[in-house]
Amino acid sequence: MVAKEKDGIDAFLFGESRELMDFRCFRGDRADVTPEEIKKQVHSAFMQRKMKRAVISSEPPSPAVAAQDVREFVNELAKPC
Amino acid sequence: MAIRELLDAFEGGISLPVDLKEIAEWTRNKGFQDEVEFIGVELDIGVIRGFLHRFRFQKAVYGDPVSAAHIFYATNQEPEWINMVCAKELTHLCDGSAPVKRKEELENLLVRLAMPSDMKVLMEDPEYAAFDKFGDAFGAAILLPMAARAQLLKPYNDEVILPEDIARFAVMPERYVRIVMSDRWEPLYERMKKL
Repeated sequence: MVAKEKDGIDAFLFGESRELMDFRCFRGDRADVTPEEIKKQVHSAFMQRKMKRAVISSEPPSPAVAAQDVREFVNELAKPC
Repeated sequence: MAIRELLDAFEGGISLPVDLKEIAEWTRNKGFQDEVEFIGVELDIGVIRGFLHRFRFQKAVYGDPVSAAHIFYATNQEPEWINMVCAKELTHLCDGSAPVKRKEELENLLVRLAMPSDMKVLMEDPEYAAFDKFGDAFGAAILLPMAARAQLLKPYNDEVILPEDIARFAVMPERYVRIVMSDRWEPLYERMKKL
């Protein structure tokens, strides 16, 4: 496929100050998605970060539930209620 | 293979939900990335749920280049999906195969992503190989490790515990729980380790 003309995400991905090493996407469930829509979402994400409207952390977001040992849980299942 | 190393390192986990901080730390300690950043933004999750941007940049004029990974995820989706996106993109940090580095490769990737999944196999696309097809599966393997699966298998097969219960326990989407708990998972997992 031939590269299209410059679009909104080029400046973020192919800028002179940084070299792109990889890019991956987690696709949504909608069946009729176009490449342009994906680019628009990626562009929007970069812009939200620039506008300081993003939640940024060096750690992954943590689900607000305590971790539990699966063995203990399975043992509990075997006990009568 | 780094991806095998990652799966080997975490498949013995029996505590749920899996702490993705440990996975991120592992990738830093192994030297796959100097910096990993998680960025929550609003996205149209029907289009994309998140993405990974890896790049190299010069922090100081005479310093070595720094390799950074920015994992973007949609904050307007359920915690199980946020976990799934972050787990999947973290596994990509250990994946050196067919990286997208040039504009042409990016355009190709986006065209492939836009296609319904059953159409992707029809496209001649050897460059993107198996890892991309298995991308979600690697995320699922991280969120429900083999040792935890083994513990849950009997009550699951006896229908004492249901897919939605495991999904709640592991904080991952139910559709992936059904795949991991199925009979087909073990051979698939072995195949994934050989990629």
